[in-house]
Amino acid sequence: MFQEFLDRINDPAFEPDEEMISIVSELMPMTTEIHTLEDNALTKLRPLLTGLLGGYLGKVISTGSRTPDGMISKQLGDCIAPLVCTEYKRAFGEGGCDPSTQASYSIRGFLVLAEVCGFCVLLYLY
Amino acid sequence: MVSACSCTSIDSPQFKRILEKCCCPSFLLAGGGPYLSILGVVYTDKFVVQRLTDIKWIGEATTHEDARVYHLARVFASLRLAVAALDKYYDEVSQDPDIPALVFNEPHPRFFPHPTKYEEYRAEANLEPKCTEFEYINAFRADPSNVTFLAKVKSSDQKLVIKFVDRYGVEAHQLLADAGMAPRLLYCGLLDGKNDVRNTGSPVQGSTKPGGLYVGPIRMVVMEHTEGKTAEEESTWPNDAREKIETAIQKLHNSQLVFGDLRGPNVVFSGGSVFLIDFDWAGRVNEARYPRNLSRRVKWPRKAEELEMKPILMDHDLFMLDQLFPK
Repeated sequence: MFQEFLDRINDPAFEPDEEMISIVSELMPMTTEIHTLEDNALTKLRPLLTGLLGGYLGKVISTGSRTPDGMISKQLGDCIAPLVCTEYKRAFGEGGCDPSTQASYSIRGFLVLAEVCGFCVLLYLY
Repeated sequence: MVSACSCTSIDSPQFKRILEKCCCPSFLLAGGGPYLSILGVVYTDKFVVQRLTDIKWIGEATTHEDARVYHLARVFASLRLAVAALDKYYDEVSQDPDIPALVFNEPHPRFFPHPTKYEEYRAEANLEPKCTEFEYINAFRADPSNVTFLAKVKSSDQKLVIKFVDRYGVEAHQLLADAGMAPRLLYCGLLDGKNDVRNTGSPVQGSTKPGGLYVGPIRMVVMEHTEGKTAEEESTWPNDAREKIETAIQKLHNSQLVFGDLRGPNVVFSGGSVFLIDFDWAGRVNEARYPRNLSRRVKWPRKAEELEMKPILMDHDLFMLDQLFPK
């Protein structure tokens, strides 16, 4: 699926639908704003990414020290499989850490280290 | 706020079940402010993260942003379809009864690449394609840069070497395989195992850019496994080893091809035969070039930094031949 993702981007015939264009049109000014708190930015970002990616982007509750800011997961019986993890900062470089590196550690923590308490699909109130 | 939760350890059988079935592929979105990048993750015997896109500007910079909205929407639309495919993949993998149980120290599909079949290339265009399924046995080297695996045909005991490459001297390999001087080349093409680079009009060719840089899809190479030892592993070499390798190199040069990486690990002694393997750098004279990041520990025809991305010459092959098999 990684290659399919790249192939579609490189396929000049591939067109986004109007819903995607509409959400991206909202996303762009939202990310250009300077947010005073990371949580405020995430609260605005999550529903937009949920719309763009077609799955609920919930917040991960974990006892681990590193957890993703958000995750789209798949419930398989009593198992959880991660589909998408997000790591987003108010500004790139904030906290002195490349968010892509931080995101890598977060999902590693999710899969192999942390005790995951659950997903906030129903329980988390913004 | 969280109203309730029941902690579940990743080590619990519930979590282990999916990790024991597959390498848990997932996408990562990472960014800050008006920047975002998309990454891919798998968890094999190690945690592997690869950048799928550059860091993209996703903010608004001018009053005329239609083109940027469109291009960004294409990226997210593509990602949305990929996430849907990933969702379906997890459904299939979680219910697949053919995935074996994970046993300590035993090969398991979750540790290996996902391509497991190929259609053998046949020069005669009118022959029906024959699909061969294989399973991986081991990696050739236990380091993260390994791209070569030992595998076995599912329906027989035939062993294969599966390799993942970008550039590859398929013409040189084919020429020497036809002459019995290289392992038989069964497939070289897209990861789907259906598009061999040797087929007419194949979309797998990629293209060579200035400096010999290859731009195109990653390709899978399938060849017969040759039992034997490399010149690096074998302490006693056949008396005619130099003569045979010289003949092979001459055969390439006569066809205006160069080999480029004539070193001990790329020469295999098997019974009375001597084979050349590893045709990653091989190609046409004036087209084939050394890659970036040449090893500084190998004695090349010139200093490594002088050869990187420069043409491979026939004289270079002869220099390496003399160095490996002094007269």
